Amino acid sequence: MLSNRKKSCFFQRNGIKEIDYKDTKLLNKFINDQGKIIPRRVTGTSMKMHRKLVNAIKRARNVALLPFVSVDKD
Amino acid sequence: MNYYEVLYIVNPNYGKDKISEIINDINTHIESKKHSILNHDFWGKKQLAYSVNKEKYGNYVLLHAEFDNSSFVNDFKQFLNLNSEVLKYLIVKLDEKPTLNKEEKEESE
Repeated sequence: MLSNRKKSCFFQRNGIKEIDYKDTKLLNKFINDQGKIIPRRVTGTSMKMHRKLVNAIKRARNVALLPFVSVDKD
Repeated sequence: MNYYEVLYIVNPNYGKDKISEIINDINTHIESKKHSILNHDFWGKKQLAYSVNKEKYGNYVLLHAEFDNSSFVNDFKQFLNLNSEVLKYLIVKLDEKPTLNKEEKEESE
């Protein structure tokens, strides 16, 4: 997903049109260790889907499905 | 007339009996105002991504409902705010009618 070469939108490749905020398994791919949203230039998601993704992640954070910040305990 | 999805977190220290009581309470509140409930499922106890009211776990409950007038959403928010058993909630308006759990089960059988 994070390769330097050809980047294509993960959602368009897999035919996903709507992103559900309850699908934490999927959303976890698009946040880093700190809980930040990975930028579009890195993941290669299309603008349209990135907007939906950001919306879903923020909703998930609101109901404690995803962290706002996660600090490494090491 | 709109469809809404409500996800709320109930205190983790409650047993199944107490949770079904809370679910019934919410059902009666919605039905008393003559709105219909489509799905009301208990997800189970899950670890929270961050602590809420010093609790590390939470009982998640998902509700799909149809509210006839949008002003009921504010009413329902107030009801959840006053309900001390509910730690957190999220209300989302749906574009389409959600699939009913009962129908899914019948299809799979």
